[in-house]
Amino acid sequence: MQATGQPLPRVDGRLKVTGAARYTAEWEVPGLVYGAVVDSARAHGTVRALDTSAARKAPGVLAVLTHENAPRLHPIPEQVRGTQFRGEGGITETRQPLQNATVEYAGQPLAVVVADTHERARYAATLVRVTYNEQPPELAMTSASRTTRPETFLGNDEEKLQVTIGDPNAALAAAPVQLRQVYESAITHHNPIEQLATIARWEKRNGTDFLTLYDTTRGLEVLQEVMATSLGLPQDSVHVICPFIGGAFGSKGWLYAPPLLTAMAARLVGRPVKIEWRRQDMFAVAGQRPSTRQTLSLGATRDGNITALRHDTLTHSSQSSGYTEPCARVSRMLYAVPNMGFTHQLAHLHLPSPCPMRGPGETVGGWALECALDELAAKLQLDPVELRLRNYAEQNPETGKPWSSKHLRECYARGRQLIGWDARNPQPRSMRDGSQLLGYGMATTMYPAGRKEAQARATIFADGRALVQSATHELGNGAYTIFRQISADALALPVEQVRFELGDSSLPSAPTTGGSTTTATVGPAAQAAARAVLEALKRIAVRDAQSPLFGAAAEAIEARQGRLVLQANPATGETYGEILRRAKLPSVVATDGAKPGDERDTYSFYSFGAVFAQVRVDEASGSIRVARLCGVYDVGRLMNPQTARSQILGGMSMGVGAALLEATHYDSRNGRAVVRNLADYHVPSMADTPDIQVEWLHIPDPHISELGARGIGEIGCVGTAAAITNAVYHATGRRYRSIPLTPDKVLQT
Amino acid sequence: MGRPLLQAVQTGDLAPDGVLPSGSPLSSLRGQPVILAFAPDEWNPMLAHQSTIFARLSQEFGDGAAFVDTATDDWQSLDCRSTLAAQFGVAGQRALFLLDEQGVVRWKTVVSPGQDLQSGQVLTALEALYTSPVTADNEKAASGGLSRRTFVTATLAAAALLLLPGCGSSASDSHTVETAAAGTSSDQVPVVLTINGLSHQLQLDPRVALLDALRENLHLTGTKKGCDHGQCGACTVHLNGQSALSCLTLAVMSQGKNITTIEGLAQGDKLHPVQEAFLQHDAFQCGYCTPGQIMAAAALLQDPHTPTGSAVELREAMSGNLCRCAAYPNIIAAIQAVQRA
Amino acid sequence: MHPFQYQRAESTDQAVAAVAQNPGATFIAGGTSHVDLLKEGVHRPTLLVDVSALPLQQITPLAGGLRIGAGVSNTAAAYHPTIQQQYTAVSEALLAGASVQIRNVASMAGNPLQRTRCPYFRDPTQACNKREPGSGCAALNGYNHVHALFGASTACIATHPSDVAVALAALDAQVQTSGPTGPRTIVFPELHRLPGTTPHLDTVLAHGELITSLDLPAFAGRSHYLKVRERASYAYALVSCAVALEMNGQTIRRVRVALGGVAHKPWRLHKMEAMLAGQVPTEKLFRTAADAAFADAKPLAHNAYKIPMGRNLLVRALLETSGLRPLAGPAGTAFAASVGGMAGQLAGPR
Repeated sequence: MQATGQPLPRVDGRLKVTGAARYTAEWEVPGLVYGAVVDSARAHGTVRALDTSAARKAPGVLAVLTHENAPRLHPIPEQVRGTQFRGEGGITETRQPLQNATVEYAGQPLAVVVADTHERARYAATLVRVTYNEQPPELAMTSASRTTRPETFLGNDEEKLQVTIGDPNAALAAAPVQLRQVYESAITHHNPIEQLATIARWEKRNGTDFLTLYDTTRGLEVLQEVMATSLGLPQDSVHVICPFIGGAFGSKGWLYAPPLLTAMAARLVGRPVKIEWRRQDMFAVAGQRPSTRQTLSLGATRDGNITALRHDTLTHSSQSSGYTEPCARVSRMLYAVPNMGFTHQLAHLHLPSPCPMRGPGETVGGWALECALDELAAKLQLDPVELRLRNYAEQNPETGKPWSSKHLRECYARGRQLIGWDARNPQPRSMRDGSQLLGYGMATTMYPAGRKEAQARATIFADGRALVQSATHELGNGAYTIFRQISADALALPVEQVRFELGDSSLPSAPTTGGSTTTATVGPAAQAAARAVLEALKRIAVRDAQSPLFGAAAEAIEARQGRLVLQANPATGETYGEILRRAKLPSVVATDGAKPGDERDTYSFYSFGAVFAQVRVDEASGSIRVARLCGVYDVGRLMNPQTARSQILGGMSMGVGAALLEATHYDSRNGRAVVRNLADYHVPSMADTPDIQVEWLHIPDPHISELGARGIGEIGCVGTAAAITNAVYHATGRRYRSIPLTPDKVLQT
Repeated sequence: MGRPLLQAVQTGDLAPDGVLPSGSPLSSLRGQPVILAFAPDEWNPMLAHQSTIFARLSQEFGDGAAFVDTATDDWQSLDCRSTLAAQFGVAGQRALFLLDEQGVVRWKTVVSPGQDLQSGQVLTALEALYTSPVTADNEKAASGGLSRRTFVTATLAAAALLLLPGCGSSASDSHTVETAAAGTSSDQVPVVLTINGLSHQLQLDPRVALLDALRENLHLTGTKKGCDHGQCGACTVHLNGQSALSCLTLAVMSQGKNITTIEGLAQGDKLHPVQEAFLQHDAFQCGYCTPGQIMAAAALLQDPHTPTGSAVELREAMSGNLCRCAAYPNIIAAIQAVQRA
Repeated sequence: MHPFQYQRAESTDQAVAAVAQNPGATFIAGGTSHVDLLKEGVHRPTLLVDVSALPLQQITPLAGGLRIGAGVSNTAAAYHPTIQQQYTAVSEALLAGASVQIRNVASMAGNPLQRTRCPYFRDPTQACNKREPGSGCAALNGYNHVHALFGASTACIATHPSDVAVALAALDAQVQTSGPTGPRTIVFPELHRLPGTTPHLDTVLAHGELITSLDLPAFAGRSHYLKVRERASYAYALVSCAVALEMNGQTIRRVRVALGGVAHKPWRLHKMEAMLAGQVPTEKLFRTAADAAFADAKPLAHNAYKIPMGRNLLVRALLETSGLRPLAGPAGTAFAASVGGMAGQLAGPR
């Protein structure tokens, strides 16, 4: 039986339920000391003076790292592995920590106090006195003096941010039915429960500097390259280790002040240093989804054919990052619209840098689009599902390429059945449950099905077991589990006989885990490595006079149930262990990789789905609760239905947070975060999470890879907020165009 | 609790010969230093990066040491319940032996069940063993010392040992563990904590939260720091059987209470029913909030007060434990499964 | 955290003496709020006197009422049968607050002594007269989403965050203390101050004065607590309301009402209470009363939503307490107190 497709319990589950899984801050490193960060109270200006004398005299303090004594760093690379890092549209900050006295956001690290205990470091950090030459900060994107219009997202030519197809303005003007609305979304934070942490240890190896980093990263290799470049080291003099990540959701990948500060502090004191960032700090240094102000303009015929679509976004970044929330990612491909125009304007503020957050662009951009569609449906007096069917895109409307696989109609059909769509009274404000209003809403969801290049190494041991390794990441995505399943099938071994390892930059190359690409990227690499090691094993067997396979042609041999056998006569053959033991080999190893081919020139790769929500609204208090959520997804073949379902549940719950709960505020005068803890930043709790039904179409993608699997990390998050917002409209008859839909907004509208 | 039948092989003894997992006899490795690492046959991906440590050593020493364990993958590690472990007198224990080129045990350490090994102890022991300065022309150290190659091997082996999985049942009989103080300055006070049935004598700054005492001083890192301010529930432990947040509890104030952490929940290899149910229902993803969720749920099921009869009641009662992966529906299913059992 | 010394008190007198003679000393009991503020650098005591082991852990009958020892845990109080049945609002407020873990440790005296959730108070880089007298109030013209509608001053617009304090104010609990000048009794509505020019003082307690019990006077009516929060659970109140109602046949004999989340202290609505006495409860009556109660509310830039929210909440609390509207869940539970209920098809157990 194939292991892939089975609901195998997580292979790292036992470690996780016993507390034995080791996360970054938990490595025991001899001689470890602790760093505590002093951050900026002001958002703009320069540090006039940093008085560290009291801190340096405090008990246990070893040193205070400031811009005055920090090592000078080399600039971070322009591009890393095909991703633009710096400049317009780049993903990260040009700024590196403690290289000068300028202050560009409140919460910016200004010093690191290193002491022998966590408590002493933290206390001494409060003794550092900072004075500033202040300048007025710019904190509102509508009045920013510096704005840019980046051409591409992360330097990717296929992700243009300023696009015109056909003549959208003329088509809009000519459309019999027109709609133009502004949608706003708040700044949100990933807030994984594991806080950022780094342990840095310097040593001399063969007389040269070597840096070992334990870091909360889902980008081992990118971090290795950034650190090596910044610190002026050869790449192989930096070793990054992270076997477990306590959630990321877009953070922990693209911002490097935390590991750079830790490495500099460790260098200064000559001992291994740990900096574990506080939850408060994460609202400054961990990245965020920026707020957006999106204008959606739709033109349609009276029977509901959308003829024009404009999606114009104003969003913001920091002073030193070009990251631009790509809000039109959904609008550009979801419906068959002949005339489309998309713009993205970026305001550079004195706020912390943004970075991707689960469904970057899709989650808030898709929310705006799908709310606008709901408004158009109401205007046309069409069922919202029907409006979407009338504009169903049979191929990618932007590129004209056929879809690799799209079965969205089935998702709509099954979703409306699950929620009871047709049994509802479609009239807004018509349904009640006691004192509460009831409402139903729906939205389409999608996610690009990316694939990248990766390498893996496979080893078969003399006892018949096997190990497959690749420098990918476990952040709750089930990587240990599903890659073990995929490897086991490729090696023709039972899953118990196979292990998969990751989380170490010295393993064969794999990209940053993000963009829902990991299954499609690392899975084929594991398969390739497995096949390569079986080929190597065949070569040993056919040369061994004592082997039953002696002299056979490699093509005539196949792997079956842990044995190499003759295809024509499977009874002739022997186990992997027998071959190795006779050859007196402890193991046989092979490394191989896989990358997408030219299928991407031919097809457009996306996952699709439909989300339906039922909400209860207590108008008197402004409280909204989600009663039910149903999602039906067309994501290709599932590697593990149990871990896949969990990922979708998590994404949908994060959509609940985006719709109803999550917002970060910064003081409008000094830029300090005034929502900066988990009591004030409301991550959904168990009581906010309703019954969620998830179904799949189980249709393998014939083109993405032999596995037929597209990614599922983000699609659950996209669509959910719009389905909820649209359900609130159906419940109340009122349009709310600003998320999160907190009680104050319901009461003030 | 099983005690080893044989006394452990001692330093200076010629190692007994036995069969390695590869099928070859141990004696076939004579002529090079050998590490034997005994641990439970459990997969532990934290060890992945060790392969590189060993690979680096191999590189540095050419035909260097043989790494019988490597511990990178359990099929090469030596199961502490194997015949070879019994021959070495360490059945069921976590142990590490360093054999020199002649097959003589030059260094060993055995970790008693229920104890955790701390890096300081291992490094101190190794430093005491190795007294001669390492120079290129000093391959063979002074009498009693180790060859440089063996020493380096041992040092790396020690690092490896720290990462070996714990061995079997934890001690149920209470005994005292003295933990070295981080310093002896005047801002520290003696603190006695009873954790998972063991009494720990510590010297602590009164500012140390119970959470930090567990994680930083006692290396019981199963209890997680998610917010450090009582806003997420990841640090949940039991104080006298009731759930409590260790981040909002000062260690000095926890004296005299029975503290249970996630490490003390299972009975040896047998998981607590809540742990088992979490596994079966996929009630976690990244795993970081999981120990806190499990501790909260385990306490809840013993709680005579809090109503947990319906899913809605469970949702409310478990709301103090945030899960950003939002495994919530599966957590509820797991708890309900335990309730039904 | 600033350095401090720690001392475990052996007796109430010793605890009082230890704090009274040391201006840098404070009491600590459950610590669930205190340790949070120590870590934020907001509280900077030089001596912590631990009163958690003092024999103040009993709940005992008292002349028709009930004495709740200061050290009784929130959990023990919430599920005490007399409190759940006779002082329902207290149980509802406790169970709609914090989490199981916090309630297990937090003490009954400590809960009402929680400090404000104003974000400017909790960030030592911001101006805050409550944390640092004379430094100014950054909230006044800042992000004042959770701030006060009533009784604020230009020095401070903070609100009090405790749920149970609102219920205790409505029930006119009596606070027994032991202080450097001996024992005294404070009626609960007098315990907390308005900010005025001294917002650093939350209560009338003297330095070294220790609460030893909270006494609930005899009460034969119905009481109820309602809370609106953004998150369905484990969140502070935006606005809350406690009602203690005693009927005389079809008419209201006495009603006492306190609002939470709208002022520096639990906000008793004495005028409205007087107006309702002797009346027959109707929705119209309650709505008129609620409109009047909020007539002098002074909204800030970001908290005007609290006026309709508070008015509606007040009406609902009065209706539910007087039986004109069903409770959202079983009396004495979080479900009765939680406005909006939990996610899912059923808001609460039915």
